Amino acid sequence: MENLLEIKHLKVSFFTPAGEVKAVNDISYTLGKGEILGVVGESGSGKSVTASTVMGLVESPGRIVGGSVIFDGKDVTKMSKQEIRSLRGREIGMIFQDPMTSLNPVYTIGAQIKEGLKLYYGLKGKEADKKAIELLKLVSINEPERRLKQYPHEFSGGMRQRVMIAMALAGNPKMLIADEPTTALDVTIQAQILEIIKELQKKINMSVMLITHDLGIVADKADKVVVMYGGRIVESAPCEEIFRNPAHPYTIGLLNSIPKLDSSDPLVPIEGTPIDLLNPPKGCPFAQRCQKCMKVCLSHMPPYTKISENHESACWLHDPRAKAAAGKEAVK
Amino acid sequence: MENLKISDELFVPATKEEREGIQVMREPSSYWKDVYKRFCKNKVAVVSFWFIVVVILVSIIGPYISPYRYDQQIKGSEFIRPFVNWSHPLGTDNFGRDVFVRLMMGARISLAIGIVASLMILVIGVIYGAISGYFGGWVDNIMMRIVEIISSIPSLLIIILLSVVISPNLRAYLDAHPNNTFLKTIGGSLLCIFITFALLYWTDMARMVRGQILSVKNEEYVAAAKALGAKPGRIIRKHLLPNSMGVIIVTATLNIPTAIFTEAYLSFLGLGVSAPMCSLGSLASDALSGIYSYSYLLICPSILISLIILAFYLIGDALRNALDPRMKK
Amino acid sequence: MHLVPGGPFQSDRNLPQNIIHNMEVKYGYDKPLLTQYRNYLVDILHGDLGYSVKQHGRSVNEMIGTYFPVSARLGLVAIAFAFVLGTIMGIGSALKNGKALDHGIMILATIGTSVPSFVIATVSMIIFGVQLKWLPTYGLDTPQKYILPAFALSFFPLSFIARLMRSSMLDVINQDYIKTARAKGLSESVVIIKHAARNALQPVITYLGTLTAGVLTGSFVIEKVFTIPGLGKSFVESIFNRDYPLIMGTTVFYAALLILIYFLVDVLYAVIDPRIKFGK
Repeated sequence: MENLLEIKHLKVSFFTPAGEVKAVNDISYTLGKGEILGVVGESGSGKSVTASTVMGLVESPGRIVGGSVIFDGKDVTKMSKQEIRSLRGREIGMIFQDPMTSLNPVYTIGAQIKEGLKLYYGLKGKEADKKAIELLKLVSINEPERRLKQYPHEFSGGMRQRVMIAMALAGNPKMLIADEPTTALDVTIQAQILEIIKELQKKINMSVMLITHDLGIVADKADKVVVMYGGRIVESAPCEEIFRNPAHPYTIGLLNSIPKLDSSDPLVPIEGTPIDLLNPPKGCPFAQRCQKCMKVCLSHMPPYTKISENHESACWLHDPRAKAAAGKEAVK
Repeated sequence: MENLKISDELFVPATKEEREGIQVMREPSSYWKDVYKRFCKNKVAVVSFWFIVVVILVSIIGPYISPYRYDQQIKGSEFIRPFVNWSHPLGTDNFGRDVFVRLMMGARISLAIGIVASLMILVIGVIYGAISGYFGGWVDNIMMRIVEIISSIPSLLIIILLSVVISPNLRAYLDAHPNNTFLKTIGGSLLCIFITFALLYWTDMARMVRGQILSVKNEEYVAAAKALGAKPGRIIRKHLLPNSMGVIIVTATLNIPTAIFTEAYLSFLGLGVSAPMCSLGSLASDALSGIYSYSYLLICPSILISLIILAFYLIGDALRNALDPRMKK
Repeated sequence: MHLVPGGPFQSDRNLPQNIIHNMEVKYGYDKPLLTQYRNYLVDILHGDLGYSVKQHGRSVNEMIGTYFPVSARLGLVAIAFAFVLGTIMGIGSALKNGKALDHGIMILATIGTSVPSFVIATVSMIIFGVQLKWLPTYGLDTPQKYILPAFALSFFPLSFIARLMRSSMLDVINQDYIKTARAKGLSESVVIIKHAARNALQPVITYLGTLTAGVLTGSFVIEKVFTIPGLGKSFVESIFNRDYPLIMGTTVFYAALLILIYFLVDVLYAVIDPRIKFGK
């Protein structure tokens, strides 16, 4: 499968008065054509910033300080502002977390959708209306003709997110970035939105980058999953593999903290708090919070170990010397 | 390969202390010390603060040590230019009165009015806001409606109107009670200013205090105090007000320039202090007629009052930022 | 807004007693206070604001009619200038946040909101009118004569709007829907003007009502300094002259004007923000 998006050793920092905040600290992953990629991580892990770089949306004081982002063969980090702008909407669509605030409250839904249509295709008037109605039907919004003239505050949260999806698809993009699309919605609506995304993806063979902090969301939706922590990727694997055979302590911790309906085991949260990105630790970013932390974890960054086909994890525990040390312990 | 450089011994579990060693604790500091530090970082505000201190000191002490009184007319010394000779560093006016002394006197009066007015507003506003905020419910609703109505009235108009109504009445009263020198010195218009301030200008303070009280009211220590049987007055005094101190100080500081501005405005129109007493506004107004030939008479009070008002605003702004515990990027 | 004529109106000119008495009869002051008030209200409702006591023969209506258009023209120029320039300064300042332009504009704006209007008026008069002799400084018959007084009148609102617009823009720019607009691929100028500024203007529109009131009271000073024959100057003079009908009439007129403006601003606000619905 060809890769639509290749991110190689990306580094993004924010230069604040307090210092350089290393939001993204050497990240690499790929997204194939027609593939759904889940990017999982907590707030501050750098997952949203990575997505923003793809569209060139990283704003000052943030800057890309290293690496490359290759979309459809071209390096985004080296593009001019014009070129990046022509990518947005037409090649890549993006939807954001909070549909309540993601739509401009003073313009009608129709006006906002048609704005994009005019930009991408030069459509005006009745033709633009028709296409906008088509888009609304695509995301299962009833009475699209009436809805076109309404304002965002007249829609419910779930419907607003659907409108966002419709707007993002207006330019027929090859890729959709969904940055925590369901976090601000009720659980039942969450499922609806995810279903719509998955259906559409199948229909038009679009690639999707699904960013979330909730591992459960990507469960049956994503083809591939990448887990981020502290600005680095700690584990990446096909979706089933991540759930069946998690390798990194953080991933394991995430899985353990998902409440399960059918078991009465107590929840096992991950202790501690996220790291300070102003002074990232020399070693593994997760070291402090890891139950299995070793001395080497605090001082040296773990390399990526291949666990199985397409499954990598960055942890010192996979190093043979760790197993040897554990063996010695067992013998004692 | 780098891996070989790492010794095997490192592959032992890290101790809890080693893990936590990465955290850095900041030294604790009291709230007000923090506020003071943040305020001092704002150099402009610190300069303004010292400027005001200097002005206050000079305006209080100056007229006592100056060889001239502010209302002393020196015949034959009219219209001396500033910086010409040392006995009249800023020149004299059309009556031969020394400008420098009058300026200091004017500053004294303008500042006094500003501070007294601000204190009045403080007392009224804090009481009103505290009651409204503490009791909440329909009491709060009604009180806030009243505030809304009052604050939509253009206050300057009212002051002007009041002065129209009060002066003849005041005159009649003074004629009947010639011994009341206090009212005489203050004069009708100033009385109007103070009355209007008491009637109209406290709304901002009341709103701020009420807002602060509403947010503090629901904290746990208030519930604890209530549970221990404390009376509303005590709770307001000991718990709610100290926490509103910040807001109160900022608003009071920002009220001073408003009061000074209003007084200057009225004096400029001729509705403020009456001659021979002078405020910076009336000094400017008097100088207006000579604007072409004797600009200095106008420029000196104008600049001084602008600087005073500006300084107070800068201090108030800086205080507001210093009291806000949110860290700005 | 109800205006109470409060306090007994006493004529205090040093005329022989019988002339005063005759005048009082003529103007109805000898009738009991309540009757005076009632008559006055009835007259107002008929649009009759009475006759000036000091300028004999001229009705208050006529005087207002002569002086108000002058003030209105000046006021409108000042408001328009303050609004347009203030908005542009605010947007520019917000876009270049933290940079030299931002600091420069904000310093100017801080000065503008603290320095009293009469200082601005007199200082600009001295600099431009006297020393440099560039601009005329009194009267209002030629377009050039508008420049100085309009500038002085607008300085405070301009600064206030600049600060207001700046902080409003800074808020709006960080909103999610701006991110969405950018993500759609719209050009930066469209994002700023069509999406950001449009939303940021709301607080400024709300301020328009207070702005007008401020321009109104500011006109008293400006008209005095620049010797402009407007309603403000006439109002201040009437206070000194104790021309009660004129004072009352002008006040009533101002009050009505302000109420009208506040109402219009409310309507404007509802038009601008679709979230506010009329009568629902």
